[in-house]
Amino acid sequence: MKREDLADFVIKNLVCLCLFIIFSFLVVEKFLSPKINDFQESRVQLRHAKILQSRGEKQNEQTQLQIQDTTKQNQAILASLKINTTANRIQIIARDFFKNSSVAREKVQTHEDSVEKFFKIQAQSNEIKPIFDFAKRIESMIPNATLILPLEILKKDPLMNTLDITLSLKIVQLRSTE
Amino acid sequence: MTFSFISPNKKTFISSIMQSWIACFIASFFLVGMIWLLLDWQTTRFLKRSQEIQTQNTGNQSYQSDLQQKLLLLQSRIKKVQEIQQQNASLINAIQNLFELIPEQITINSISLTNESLVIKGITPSRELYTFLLDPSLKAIFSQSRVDFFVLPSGWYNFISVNTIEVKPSLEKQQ
Repeated sequence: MKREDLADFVIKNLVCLCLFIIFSFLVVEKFLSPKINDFQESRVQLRHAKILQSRGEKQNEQTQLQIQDTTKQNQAILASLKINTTANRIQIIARDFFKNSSVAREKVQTHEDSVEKFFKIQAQSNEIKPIFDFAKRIESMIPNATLILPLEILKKDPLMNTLDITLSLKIVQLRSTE
Repeated sequence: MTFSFISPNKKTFISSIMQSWIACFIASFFLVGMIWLLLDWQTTRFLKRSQEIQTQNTGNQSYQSDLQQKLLLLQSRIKKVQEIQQQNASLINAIQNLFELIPEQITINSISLTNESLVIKGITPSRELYTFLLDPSLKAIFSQSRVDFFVLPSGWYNFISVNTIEVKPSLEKQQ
């Protein structure tokens, strides 16, 4: 190879090499790098979305499980709220403890999602123990009921043991079951 | 007829070295283009998948909110019944305590218990018996306690005890 040709070869190669480096730099910097960044961002975004998805699913599963457990544990309580208790049902219970019992529904108070029914029970008994027994029976049979005030116990005839008892009962139930 | 002793070299428009460099440029450009396309395809795929998952997440969040509301409702209902049961237990306990307060010597004819007051009517052998055995307990529970005695022909006393308690407005509201 002649000297001139060799010089031409070296110079051309050097120029092309420089151009190639500049070309490579520009391509990587302006063309490839933003795309790589986009790709990495989208990958991170996907990973975050997947983490959120798994967390959300786990949370939903836990909440569902909690609802199931709570419902299972308080089945009787929740069922009682749905039962429409009538004066007759209370009277049937009262008959086991008192004489001449009568039950009347006094008033109904409606709330947002529940209804409070107030009953007045008038009965007779020879002692006060049946009041507590009746209260215990009510507690076990109608968990959503409570004795409330006023309470009256009156011995009309001092010579007789008969007590006239007036009890008040409040029952809370769900509005949909009214 | 020839004018030179050497045969002429083939002269191309672009020299072989330049051809190599051009090929190198084209190959590089092609390679970079391929990488760019691959990255673009993957990015689009990832973004599409992210959007799908985000849509699912929105659904999950709304479902979670529904579940939370259901749980809160359930808890509020259970709490309500528990409050009722507690109220029942407290009232029974209070009535039992009231009967335990009354000494054997005093005969009760009537008891009327409301949220604010307790009225007891009965017979006591003496004023002192009432004053010493029943009155202190009632005074300890109620804010105001008043008793009136009426003498009976037998020498015993009929009494009417009126005991009131100040109900705070907030308590009154609850009831």
